[in-house]
Amino acid sequence: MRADPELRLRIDWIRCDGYGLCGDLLPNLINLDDWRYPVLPTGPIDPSLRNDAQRAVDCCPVKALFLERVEAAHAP
Amino acid sequence: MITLQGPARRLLAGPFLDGQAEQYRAHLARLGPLPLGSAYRELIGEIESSHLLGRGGAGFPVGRKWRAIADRDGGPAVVVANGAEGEIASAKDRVLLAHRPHLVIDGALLAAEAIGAEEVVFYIGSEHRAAMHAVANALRERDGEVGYRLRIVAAPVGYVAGEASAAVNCIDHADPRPTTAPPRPSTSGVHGLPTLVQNVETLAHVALIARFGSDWYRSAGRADSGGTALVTVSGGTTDPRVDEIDLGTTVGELAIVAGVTQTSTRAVILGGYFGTWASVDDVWALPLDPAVMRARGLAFGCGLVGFLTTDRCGVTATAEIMEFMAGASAAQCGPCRFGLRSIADATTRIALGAARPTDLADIERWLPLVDGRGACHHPDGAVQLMASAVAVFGDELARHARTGQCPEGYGLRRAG
Repeated sequence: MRADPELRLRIDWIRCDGYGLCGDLLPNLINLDDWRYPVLPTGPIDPSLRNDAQRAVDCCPVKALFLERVEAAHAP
Repeated sequence: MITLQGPARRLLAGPFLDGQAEQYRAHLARLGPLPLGSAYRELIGEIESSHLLGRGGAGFPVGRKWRAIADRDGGPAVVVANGAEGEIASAKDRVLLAHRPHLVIDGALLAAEAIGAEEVVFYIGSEHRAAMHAVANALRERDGEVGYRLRIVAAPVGYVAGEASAAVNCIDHADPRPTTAPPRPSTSGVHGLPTLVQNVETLAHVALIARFGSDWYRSAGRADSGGTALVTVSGGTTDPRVDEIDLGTTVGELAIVAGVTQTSTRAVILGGYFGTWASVDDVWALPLDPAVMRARGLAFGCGLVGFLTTDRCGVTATAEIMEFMAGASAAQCGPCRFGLRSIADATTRIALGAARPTDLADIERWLPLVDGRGACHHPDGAVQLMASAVAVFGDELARHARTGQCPEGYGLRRAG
């Protein structure tokens, strides 16, 4: 039994402008590709990294990064 | 003219394809009236029994798509008959629209009735002039006959303009670029209403299924998937042409109408520019059947069967396709905009004999970095095509990159 829902990172690719701040800030969580666009971890975020993930979301200057519940990803 | 054997004339039955649209009176005399007014669940059930798959490229089950929208909690909806056909290697939608517009209109009206829509938009590639005129004339012929709002919207030239969310964006905001999902058009499309975006060939099949039933539909076709399909056959010694085939017709049988043989063919491109290259020996006996193809990691896609003859270079052909796909990016999403450009540039350098030492390795590294990282599936399709080129033309790519020469001795030639 888990009290909190599982969360994962999602990106709005149209909004993302490749600033790369998320990857610079949290290289353990988010890699940057050759063009400085984020390569997100697949699957749910480990609870111990949840604060880091939230910081990555907060630092995005164009608000292209989101934390969402894993179930939400399956909605049509 | 060489024609295919077998009974595969359904969508293209009737008068000869001479560039003239079939008139409404002739259409009615040939097929009888459109059976509107039946219970919508009956038609959707019939479509489900037919196992008809969408013919725009993704091959999604049509009945399931319609039911999902029909089962919403009330309120108006919209149907978009998608005839954008931005895939430049495909011609089947424009040929269908130009010759059998009433079949497509029938299907769109059935869709409107089945999902409870009040409006139908015919979204047609602006460069497909004959198709546009045929639909406009056909709608005039039926003026006042039906109680739906019917209109035509021209799709701007461009590969991604036909993507479902781009179609909605263009119809509402004159902006033919894909939008971020969710929401999908099925929940929030034209005017923010639930919208069924369906390829025009798919709708034409529904017009016949509604008249003759799912058993009749499945009585054509040879392998797992019953029915017929339109295909565009290109790259051989004849001009590109559109044919209707029984599903299950083999690649080798289509080669006959393209004027090529197994020994005069190097490879085959299947499904579209978002499809796959396959070596000729691997697919010569392949049934063109969505279920069989899917099981082999291929896709029927938009029905393109393109033959690369042995006098042409697979690396060059691939470079031309990747240049097109990179240029066709809506340039909204970074990995598609920059990744496809990088892959296309590297592939072109290799084809021209001007490869940098890392080009080939870079391409292989970039493919997974672009896959799945966009708002629409354009980048996914492009890298799938490139990955298949690496698999089929791997040796040729390596030799081009290493020696700076085309081992077959063919320079960069424009695709035929």
